[in-house]
This record gives sequence, structure tokens and C-alpha cells, in this order.
Amino acid sequence: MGKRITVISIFLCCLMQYSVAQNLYRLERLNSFSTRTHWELAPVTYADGLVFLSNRPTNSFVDYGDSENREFSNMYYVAREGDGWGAPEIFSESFMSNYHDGPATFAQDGSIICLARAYLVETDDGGRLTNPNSGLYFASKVGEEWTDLESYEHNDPAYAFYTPHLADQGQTLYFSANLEDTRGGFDIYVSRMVQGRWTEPENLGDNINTSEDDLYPFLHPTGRMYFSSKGHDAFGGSDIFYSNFVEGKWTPAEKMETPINSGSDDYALILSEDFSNGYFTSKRVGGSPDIYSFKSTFPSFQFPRPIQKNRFCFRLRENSLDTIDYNTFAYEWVINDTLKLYGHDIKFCFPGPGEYELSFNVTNKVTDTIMYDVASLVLNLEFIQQPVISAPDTVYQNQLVLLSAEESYVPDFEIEGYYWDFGFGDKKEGIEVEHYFTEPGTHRVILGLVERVRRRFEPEKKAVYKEIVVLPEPE
Amino acid sequence: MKRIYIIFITILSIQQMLAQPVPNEEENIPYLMTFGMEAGISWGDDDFSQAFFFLIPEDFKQQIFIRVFDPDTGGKIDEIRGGWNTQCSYEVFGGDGCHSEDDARETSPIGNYKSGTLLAMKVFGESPRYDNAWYTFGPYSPEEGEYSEQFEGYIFKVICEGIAGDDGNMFNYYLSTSADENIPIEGANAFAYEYSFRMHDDPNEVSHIYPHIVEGTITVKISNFDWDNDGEIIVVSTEREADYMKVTGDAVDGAGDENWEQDELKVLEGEIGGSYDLQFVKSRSPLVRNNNVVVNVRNQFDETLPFYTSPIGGVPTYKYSIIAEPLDE
Repeated sequence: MGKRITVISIFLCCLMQYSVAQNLYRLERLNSFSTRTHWELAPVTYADGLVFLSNRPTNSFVDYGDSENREFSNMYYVAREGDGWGAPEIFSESFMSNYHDGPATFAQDGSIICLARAYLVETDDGGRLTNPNSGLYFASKVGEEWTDLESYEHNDPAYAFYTPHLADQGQTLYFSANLEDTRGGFDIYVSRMVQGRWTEPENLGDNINTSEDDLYPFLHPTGRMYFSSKGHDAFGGSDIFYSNFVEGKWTPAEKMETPINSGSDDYALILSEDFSNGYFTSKRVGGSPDIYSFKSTFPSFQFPRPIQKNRFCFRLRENSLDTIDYNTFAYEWVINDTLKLYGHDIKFCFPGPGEYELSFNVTNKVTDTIMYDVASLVLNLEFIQQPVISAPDTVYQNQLVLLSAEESYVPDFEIEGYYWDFGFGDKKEGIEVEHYFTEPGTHRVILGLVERVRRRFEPEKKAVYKEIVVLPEPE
Repeated sequence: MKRIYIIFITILSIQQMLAQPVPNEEENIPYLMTFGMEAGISWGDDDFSQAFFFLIPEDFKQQIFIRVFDPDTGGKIDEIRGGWNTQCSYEVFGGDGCHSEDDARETSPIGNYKSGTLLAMKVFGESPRYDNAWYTFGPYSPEEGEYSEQFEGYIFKVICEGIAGDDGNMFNYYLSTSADENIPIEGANAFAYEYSFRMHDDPNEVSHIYPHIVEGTITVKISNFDWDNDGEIIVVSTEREADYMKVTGDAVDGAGDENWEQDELKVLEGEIGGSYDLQFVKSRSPLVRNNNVVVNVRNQFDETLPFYTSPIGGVPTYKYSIIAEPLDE
């Protein structure tokens, strides 16, 4: 019986975690062009739509298949039409081969493409592919036409180059490859354009690459690398991770929360600059890769304020007298008819919120008379109505930090949710959250509260921030 | 004209008074004091004469009585010098000029200070019958006083003078609606332009008198006579926690004005229309007994300011204000 309860509890706990996290993103499988029967994967933005891969049949008379008799993939373009999508079409016939084409990446506003495709040179007498590896190729768009493909100068038919991603206006190329120094399977590399030539591929290191396949690098404008891996602590199959480049090193990979990641393969994520939306590929339904869009449902919090400190310590003073005649007078404060404090100008810390009645008595030492209650004041002390972040002021890099909103005081506010924004798109929900700060420096953490929706009223929001100093990880 | 205006302002504030023992309880003065004219001024009386005014509101239509407690000079209350030989006269004035005559409002018995219509006069020497007992003047119709439009009432004046002898006469007044009892008159008040009184012997007792700070007052000059360095004279108001006045030592016969000590105060804005509380705080050591004091207050024009037995604006207390300022700690 005890075991059953434990099991159920754990299940409920996990369920709750999942349902809470689900609120951060709203997913949509792009059914209008992402089919159950074929692959649709690896979308990248291009013009007003997406370029993606699919192995759906083309209209040609001859379709080629791989060794498992599946159609080879081609690159398609699908345009945004209002809130929906148009009909997918072959992106460019000039890039169509008899083998897998893509994935691709674009730079310079779409005028440069880099794509992975089978090496152009390795065919048998019948023109069939003799080398299953792919290389990277560039082309430029001149008018409406793409120029001939140019091979990436470090292509080597002995190795496979895959999942390119151009960053820095096309001056930096990230890709995955199974080069000699790979940890296993595909690793992610970087190569930079220096004086007209691409530098030697450089392995991104152990915090990114694992002995499993590490693929689909995507460098967000904030400098964060998103990628897919079957290594690290993936839920199952491939999951999507991210890492920050701090002081010349990539920080340990962190896994994206559900619902982006699932128990199935999830990969090839691209993300808008403001982290509010993006696309990725997942096999979570039916086992066939499908393209999903996601939008952040994380509320926006305008102008968060710094947390105000509750102040229960006061300077109590008589405010009329220019000079104090201690030879003649003695002054006495009485708080709530019980506590007596002596002096004309005193400091006192009240124990907490509440109503305090202050009265001021003056003793005339010359006439030996006491004037009671010559001035009085009622202090209504209460906690400042605000969200409150309870967390250390200073932490170490990569230290697990617990942050709590339990001390928030918003009595007229029926809280629907607690939302945490750590910057860099790191957003969490819950009254208590855990977080690793991967970069030293001062980090602004925003806590937002959203009021439960009431009929006909927009839910009110309140937000504060706390700056946490992150010290470099101790040696 | 200025004086009329000053009086007008005053009258607006005194309607709620309930008169009137003189001195009033709040003043905590045991007795008024007048010495026989043959006494030395070093015993505390500068001029052997004291005038008190009684104001009856115009809507009061009953007859009134002015009662004197212990009018004689003899027995336990009065101050003997050698043997009892003093005679004091009490003169009640009403009618035109009773108060409005300039000399009536001066501090010294000079000129036409006995202005108005003499309604009654009685001289007392040593008299067991009136020792520690009341004598009653009246009845008077309020209309027998001097009507003052500005005061909206009728004013009577009583002058007590030591016409013979050298003993000290200690006495009190009561403005009453009854010949036999002390029954106050609502809205009435009593005032003087110079206060001559006996101090308590008990150093724990503090006496008070309440000069009214009339509109237009910029500075006041507070004068005291024969204080005998018996402690402190402290001025308190709504704007003044405690100002210590210069005080006199023993009066010396023949020393004239040198027997007076004067101190000047700048009137604060919030004090206009109210009263000062002059507190007479006795010294505990050395203990001074039978101390008699004379006090008057003048404005910047050297005009006398009235002491009301029921202070205008109530007994002034310093307006303390307290604030609580949150600290960042």
C-alpha cells in the first residue's frame, strides 16, 4: 500500500511539473505541410517563410531512395500566408540532386546559402553515389538565380559534414562532422572566415560534444548555442541543449525544458531574437520527423522594479523644536501604551507589520510636571505589496541556486502564476525554482506575478527584479 | 483706533468662558495682593493699588455680584508687619470711561485711573467678621457697567488700594449671580493690566498668569517686580516650549525703576490671538516664603496687554509634533 502511494505521488509530482512547464510554450505541429507519412525537418527561416527538408515524393518521373528505400530528402520552401502557410514547393531545382539535399543555412539576408549534400565527385559508372558522406557547399544568389555550388574548403570525402549554421553575417560557420577528433558520431565544429579563407574546423569541446551525435548548431544573437545531442542527459533519443560562451569556453550544456524536449527525438531548433518563438523538429507523434512551431506563453513584464526593502526601523523625533533643552525637559515615547523609550530623537525597530500607537510625553523637570500625550501618531506598518525574490545576493558560477517567491506580499492579488526570467531566454515558472548561473557577472532576475483572470478584466501583473552577483567558479 | 481693533479681536475669543473666581483655578495663585501704602515696596507691592476688570456678556440679563474673599487685613491669611494697622478700600466702578479711559488701563494709579461711575466703596481694616469670609458688592444690573461694543458686553472695574498701614492684604474675587454663593456667569471673564499676587510657599506649586497676545503684537516686554530671585519665570506658548525670563531680586526702597526687571520676546506668528503662559516656578533652595510679585506685559507701542483669568485660546501648551522616518537599515 505504501509503495502504491509513493508511486502515485511521484507520478503526480512529475505530472504537475510537466503541466507547469507546459505553460511556458505553446506548441503547434505545422500540419499544413508537415505530414505524418514523410519526413519534414530542419526548418530555417528564409524570406517570408521556411526552408525545410522533406522526403516527400517530387513530381519527377524518377524518385530515388536510400538503402532503406526511403525517398531522399529535398529542400522545400513554404511561405507564410496570413496566420497559416502556403503550399510547400521545391526551394530551388538547382540544388536538387539524386541524393539527400540539406539541411541548409542562410546568411546576408538570404543571399548566401550553405547546405549539406552528397559529395559531388564520388559516383560510380552509373552515376550513383559511392560515398555516403555529405559535404558542405556554398552558393550565392544573383538576381533570382543561385550561382554554382562551391565546396567548403575543408570538405574531405573521408568525413561527413552536416547541419551547417552560418552566423556573424556569414563569417562564422558552425557545423557537425565526424572528423578525426570527434568524441564519437558527429561533433560540432566552428570555422571562421579570415582573410577570405575558412579556418580549420575547431571542435567545440567537451561541454558541447559527446560520444553521441551532436548536431544542428544554432547560434542565437545573444551568443548562446542551441544544438541537439543524444548525449549529455538527454531524455531519450536526441534532445535540444544550449550552452553559453563564457570567457573563451562553452559552459556545460543545459537541456531545454519540456515541452520543447520530449521522450522522442527532438532537434534542429531555431529561435527568434527575443526568445518568443521558434521552430524545431520532433518525432514525438507517429515516429516521423515533423516540424513544430512554438510560442512562448511566458507573460511579458514591463518595467520591473527593484525589490523594495520592508522598513520597520524608524527614527522617531519631535519635529518642532529648534533647540532641545535637556536641562528643563525630558522626553518619553510610549508605544502601544506599554513600551517606554526615552529621548527627543531616537531610533526604534518595530517587530513587524501592525498598527502602533505612539504617544509623546514631556516632563518639565523645573516644574516637576509631566505633560502626557502632547503629540501622538499612529503608524500602520505593513509589508510592501510586491513580489519578493528570496535568493542569495552573491553566488558562484554554476552553483545550484534556489530562488523562492514565497515571501511575496500581494494581499489583493489572486496569484495565477509565478514567472521567472533569468535572461538569455531562461524562463521558469513556479513559486520556487532552481537555477544555475553559468556566467560570472551581475545577473538581473525578474520575478513576475500574474493575477488570476477575472471576467472582463485583463489580468494584472506585478514584477520585480533582483540583481545577483555571480562570482567565477572557485578553482 | 488700533486699540479698539485689538479689543475687538479679543472679544471674539472669550465668549466660551465660564467666570469667575479671581484668580482662576488654572492660575494656581493663592491670593491677589495689595499692601498698605505705608509699607515698603521691598515687601512686594510697587504701588499699593490693583485694578481688576469684570466683563459681563451683553446677552446676560440677570443681576450680578462682585464678591471679595477675606477683604480685611488681619487674621491668618494676610501678611502682618508689626501690628495690624492697614486699611484697604474696594471701589466698584461702572458706566462710561470705566475701562475705556486710557488711565484705567495703565499699571500705575496715576491720573484718571478711577474713571467711570463709582457704584460702591467699602473700606476694610482688621475685621474678624470679614476675615476668611466673603463680602459682596451688588447687586448690579449688567447695564451699570460700561458697555463696550467691541467686547460685546459690560465692564465693571474694582480697585483695591491700601489707603493706610503697612500690612499685606491678601484677597480673592468672585463674579457671581448670587449674593451668598459663588455661581459663575457663562461667557464672563476677568482681566487686569497688572497682576499683583502672592506666591505659594510650597516649591512644588507653580503659578500661572496668561497675558493675551493681541493682533498686531510684534514684541512683548515682560516686567516683574520684587521676584526675590525665587526661582524662574518661564514663558510657554503654543510655539514656545520654555523661555526663561530675567528676574528681579529684592526690591529696594527708593530704587524706582531699578526694582523692575524686564525681558523682551519677539512674538511668533502662531502666538497671535492666543495667550502666553507665564509660569512662576519657585526655587527649592533657598526656600522663599511670603513672596509677593507684580507683573505686567506691554507691546512694542508700550501699551499694556491684558491678563485674562480664563486665558484666551485656552491654556497654551507647546505644540509638539512628532514624526517617524523610516531608516534604510
